[in-house]
Amino acid sequence: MSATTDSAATVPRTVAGSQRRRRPLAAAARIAQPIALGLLGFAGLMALWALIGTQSPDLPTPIEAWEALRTVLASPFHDNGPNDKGIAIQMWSSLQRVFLGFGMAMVVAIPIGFAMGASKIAMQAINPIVQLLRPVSPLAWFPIALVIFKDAPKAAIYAIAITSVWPVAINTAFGVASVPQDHRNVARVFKFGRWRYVRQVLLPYSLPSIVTGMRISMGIAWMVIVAVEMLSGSTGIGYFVWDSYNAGNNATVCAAIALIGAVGLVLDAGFGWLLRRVTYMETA
Amino acid sequence: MSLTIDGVRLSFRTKAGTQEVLRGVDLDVAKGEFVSIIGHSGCGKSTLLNVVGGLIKPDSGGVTLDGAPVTAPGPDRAIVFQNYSLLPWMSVYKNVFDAARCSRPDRSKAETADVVERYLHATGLWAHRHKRPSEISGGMRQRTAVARAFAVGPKVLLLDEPFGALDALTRANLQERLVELWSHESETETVLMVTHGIDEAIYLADRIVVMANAPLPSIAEIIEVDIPRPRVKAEMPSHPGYQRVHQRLVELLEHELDVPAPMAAVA
Repeated sequence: MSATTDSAATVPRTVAGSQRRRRPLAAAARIAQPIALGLLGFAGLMALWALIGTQSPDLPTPIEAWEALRTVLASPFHDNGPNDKGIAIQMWSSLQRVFLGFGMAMVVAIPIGFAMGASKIAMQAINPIVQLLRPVSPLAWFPIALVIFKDAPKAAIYAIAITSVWPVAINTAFGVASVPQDHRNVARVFKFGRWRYVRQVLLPYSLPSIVTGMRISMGIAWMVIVAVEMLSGSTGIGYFVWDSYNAGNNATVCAAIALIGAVGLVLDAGFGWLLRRVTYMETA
Repeated sequence: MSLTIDGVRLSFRTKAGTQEVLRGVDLDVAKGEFVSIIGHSGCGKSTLLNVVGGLIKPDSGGVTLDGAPVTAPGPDRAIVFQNYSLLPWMSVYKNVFDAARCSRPDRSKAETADVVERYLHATGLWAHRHKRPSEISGGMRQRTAVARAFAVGPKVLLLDEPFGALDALTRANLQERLVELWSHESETETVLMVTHGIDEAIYLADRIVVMANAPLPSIAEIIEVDIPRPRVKAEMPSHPGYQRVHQRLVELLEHELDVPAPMAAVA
């Protein structure tokens, strides 16, 4: 009897207490929930991996891959000749190729995109080429590049460049072509010169499209570099993956996959940040 | 600056064939006059304004300003567009300043800055000058567009349904501001305003040009608004001139020039 009265007396107090604490709790839950679900997703992936491992004995287990990852990250910068370089050095040589090829592509693709977007004639002349070559795997260009440059690393850069051209050219053309009549009329009525029109209307209007194109290009380029380096050999993260496989270090291959993903994530986040910087709010 | 529209004809080619938008429009607007153009949607009133602005070339006929033919946009005519048309990546100040600076290379940078500051004060935007168009209300955007047009110092101001998208209170405020700017605080002499508000047309204009739709897309009638200025909005409806003009406009727009609805045509 006395126990019941006690609990009855404490109930309202508990309710009041939880109400007072609800707000910070909800805030904590908002942060904790996505983290918890994300971790849960990863746990599911590991379970699936382990399950497949029971059927395929050569597949390294998640634990082995984790050990390999720690080993690779223990000395990322060592350089003991062409066949033994740290993962950071390999990653860096891949990134250099990607940036170089990507940069070359931008120099070509942005002007082409501007021409296509601004002129019907340029669009009709160039668009068929773009549409025909865009679906071609960049690896198909590798032999052609080898013939031209007679040098595998240079050919790899060329393959990256050709990969990166199309999304940027197409997105730039789209952005430039879709400048609203309203904005053009403003430039005409208030006598903006040609250069000011490009700088203050055309460029700011199409910048989000251009950066979106760059983001797509960079994503593809980072995927393609791994494949290209498996062909070109000697250095780079793709070569590292292939070399590890040939040496039977499949756990290292798994570790490399995780690191390639992480670097790709950072590259994408960088362009995501850039995109937010150049995006404006439309009012109408 | 007097404005003459002489025999302007214009047709657009569409998939369904050629559509006549303006069939022989003639209009003289005297220096210092405020003229409203009113009509149903599709009567070509905005197109006519764009022809005067120099944005559209007519098929035949033309526009002259003090006798000089209009072939392109120019600093003697500034337009306030229907949907504000501010550049969204620029601040209020830069939208106004750049337009004024580009339109009037004859003014020094300091002169332009003075003029811009004056009109931003006059439109109550000075405190908000650093904001982007997305950060201000619709009424403030339209005030920015008005300030931009006045800052050019145009002799002729062209307004394309400038207050159509605003709520009644904001609209009334802006109409009063516009009259003050036009009559006392600017170099602007002549105003041509497209509207579909009957009250707005009467309150603001010296003459109201009523335009008809196809098959005769041209001026149907011109109505004088014989109400002395300065006009007080609240007292307008009791003025006999107001009632006469209002009645005639309603007759024209709701009966004589009424566009038959597709449903009525079927019945």
